[in-house]
Amino acid sequence: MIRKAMKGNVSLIAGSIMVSITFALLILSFIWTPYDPLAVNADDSFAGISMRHILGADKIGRDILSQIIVGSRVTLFVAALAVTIAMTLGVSAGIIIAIASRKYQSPMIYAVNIALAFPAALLAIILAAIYGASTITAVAAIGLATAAAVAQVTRRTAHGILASDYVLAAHASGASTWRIIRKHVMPNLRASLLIQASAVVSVSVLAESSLSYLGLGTPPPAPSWGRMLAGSQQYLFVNPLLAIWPGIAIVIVVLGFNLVGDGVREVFDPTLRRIDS
Amino acid sequence: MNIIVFGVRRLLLFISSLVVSSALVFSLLRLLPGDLAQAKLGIQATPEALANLRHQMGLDKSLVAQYWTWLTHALRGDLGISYLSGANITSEIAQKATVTVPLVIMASILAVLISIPLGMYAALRYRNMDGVATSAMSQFGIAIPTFWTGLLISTLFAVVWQLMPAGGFPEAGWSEPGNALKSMVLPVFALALGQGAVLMRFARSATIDTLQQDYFRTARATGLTKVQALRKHGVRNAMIPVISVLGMQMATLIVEAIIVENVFALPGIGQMLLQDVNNRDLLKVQGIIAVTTSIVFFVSFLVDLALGFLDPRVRQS
Repeated sequence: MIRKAMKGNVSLIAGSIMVSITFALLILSFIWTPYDPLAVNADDSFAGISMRHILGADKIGRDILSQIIVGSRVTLFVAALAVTIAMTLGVSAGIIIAIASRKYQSPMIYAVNIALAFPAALLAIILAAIYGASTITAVAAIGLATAAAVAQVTRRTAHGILASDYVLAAHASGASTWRIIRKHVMPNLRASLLIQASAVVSVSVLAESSLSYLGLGTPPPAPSWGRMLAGSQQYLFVNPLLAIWPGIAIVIVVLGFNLVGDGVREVFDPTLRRIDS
Repeated sequence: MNIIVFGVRRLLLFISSLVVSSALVFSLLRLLPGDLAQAKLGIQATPEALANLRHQMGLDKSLVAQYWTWLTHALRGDLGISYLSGANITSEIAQKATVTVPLVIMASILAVLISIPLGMYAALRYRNMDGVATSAMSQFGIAIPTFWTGLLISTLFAVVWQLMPAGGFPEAGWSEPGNALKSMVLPVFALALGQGAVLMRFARSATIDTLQQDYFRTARATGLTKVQALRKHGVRNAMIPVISVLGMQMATLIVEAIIVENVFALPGIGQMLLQDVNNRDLLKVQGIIAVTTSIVFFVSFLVDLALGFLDPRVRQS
């Protein structure tokens, strides 16, 4: 089944490779890193690319490769929690709105639309103003903000499914609402949920890195890609390469999950394969 | 639905969204332990002084009454006075907006100008290497965080080639139009590239859609070349999703502008907001967020109106 899905599906293949690299980094971070990512070594200040430091070292001589490997932890931790919050809240809200009677539907849609005006970073800024910046505020902000988008897409898709003839037939044969959700709505939502989940991971990784860059994410000393980039900015004139590596790591994760999402869409919607590949 | 009924309904929706969202932000920011009076006077304040100041600031009234006071003042353009710096919040926002508003507008225009031709090109050549490469480019554009785009182009243009300033804004602002514009170039590009990549995907799929329509085939049958037919039918069809997505993206665009301002040290609303968050200047944070979300709701109101006007199907839903 997987092999069949992969065949000729460039997005899925390329995306899976990038996602695998990300998880390999995460696993590696618990087993081995070239150096202690926080070890300071004044002799290696701004060390270039060498056998000693494969990707060089920052101002206080911390090994860049080690920091990037360990930085995958914060990124994927935040993304995993945020995607859990967003999918749990978003999918339940979306289905509830879709099955609700007309009277309750429009105020709930209205509430989702208001929530959509607060993107993750804005919500994170509000939460940081109240509680101070931390991993928790970042996770909560990203999870809640993306939940609104998930709710909207889920509601629309579920609405389409509920309007179909087989649901009408199920109704006529006396199936309960719960049975219809379980037997008809959820299975048909599966592809859309998978695509949304991968999109939420990408958005979370982008948001987390931006928040860390702004100093509103995970506080130091835990290495994070966004903060590494923020740190590199002061030394652009000394060592511009420092501004490259963490960015590549971010792009690999985001691109990987986006491509997997596209690939999954292609598997479930063969019409796309013909025209929109 | 009648266009006027449609417009009035959207207007009511816009106004009520403003009230609800500002109430939400207001109550969120008041959930804090301690209050504004405590923050202003510090821990050593005597209870009498605290009670006095609370009364003066209206903090002894109910939350609803406080919100009402804030809202009625805000509607008259008075967002209060920062209790840290003593500055008038409205005039500070207005002053910083002279940087942020042109940044967002120029970036939106540039993003549309990039996305429509490239999206149409990618659609037209979707079977060829160059079309696929153009689509792949947009995938990259979406995956690159805006602040990194900013860092990269400032490394290239300011550090390596030294063509543009790496950041900052002339002290005198727009009264030095040349310098002001020059310091806007890199931030506008940083903001527009990511947005353009998102919009391009929509322009591309709208164009692919057009290519399969009967009217397109008819246009081709009358002897127009593919490009001529697309110029006639494709541009408009690509514009509709691009404009509506741009409207939906407005919230994201403003947040990205906040980030870009920090990359390029532009003294705009975003930079101010981050400073105020770090200082816990809550009244000011509240004011800035109220203004930002109002702009977001206003833009989506305008986009809704425009689409309702252009496309009768929108009015039905």
